[in-house]
Amino acid sequence: MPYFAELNPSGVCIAVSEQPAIPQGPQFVPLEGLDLGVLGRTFSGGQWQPAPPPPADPAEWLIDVGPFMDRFGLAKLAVLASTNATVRALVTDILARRWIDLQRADVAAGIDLIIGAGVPGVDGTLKTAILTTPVQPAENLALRRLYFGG
Amino acid sequence: MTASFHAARGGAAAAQKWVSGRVYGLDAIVWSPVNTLLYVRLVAGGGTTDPSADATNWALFGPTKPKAMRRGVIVIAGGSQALNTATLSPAVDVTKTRLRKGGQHTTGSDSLARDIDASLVLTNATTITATRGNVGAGDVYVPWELEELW
Repeated sequence: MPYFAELNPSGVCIAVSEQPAIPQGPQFVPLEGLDLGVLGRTFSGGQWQPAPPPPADPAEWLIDVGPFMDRFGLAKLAVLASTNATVRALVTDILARRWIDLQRADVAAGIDLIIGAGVPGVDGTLKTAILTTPVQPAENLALRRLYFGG
Repeated sequence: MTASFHAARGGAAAAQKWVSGRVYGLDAIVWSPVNTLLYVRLVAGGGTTDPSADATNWALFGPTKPKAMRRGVIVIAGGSQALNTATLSPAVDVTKTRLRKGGQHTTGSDSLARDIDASLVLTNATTITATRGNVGAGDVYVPWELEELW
């Protein structure tokens, strides 16, 4: 049976299949096999163009509040139990949020304040780890489901 | 294949091979040279169309069997795209077709696209529709298999 790709009106491949016949029309392109590599690619000028870059994930660097606090690791309890007025204000502010954007400058500045307050276990290395470790799916499940169409 | 074989298999007495142009009485049972399945005559008369393709005059007598298998993959692009379709060629008989989803996979670590299954529907005789389970930034690949029966 022949193989073919199916294009949308923009020329982007939306499906590949193996069927008894290739439908008539310019939106159907014969293939040598069931080539999944053409899915999402544009066919123009008789050739397959490179795949477009994936769309940016709007929640890529957003993290739920709980998992954000978990990133402090063993220092989490020290942060939460701190009697320092600045740290307490920061914790109150964090807990009032729906999520934390790790790329915001004020988040980094807030961690600097915690470091400056001398909370045990919170230092520049931990700050870097908290802010630059990619957010895992389990770390922002709540915000995605509640605020990003879920 | 012999008539006795077919008689034993279908429980029909003395089923004979269908012959083009021959006149058959009501309730006559023959086996089709196209697919070797048994058919019973619904209306007395003759014809040149094999019983397997002549639902007006013949009905399947006994169990059916697979006629053909098609397969493919539909991709639903990440972002705002909710569904995509694949075209069936030639058209299928929706009453004699089984559509199966072969799992799914998604690009990236998009938990929304990954966690909720896409749906797969035989929309009509020429269209299969895959709909993503949830909003997400990842592409969703939906493999399908379509079995046509006699």
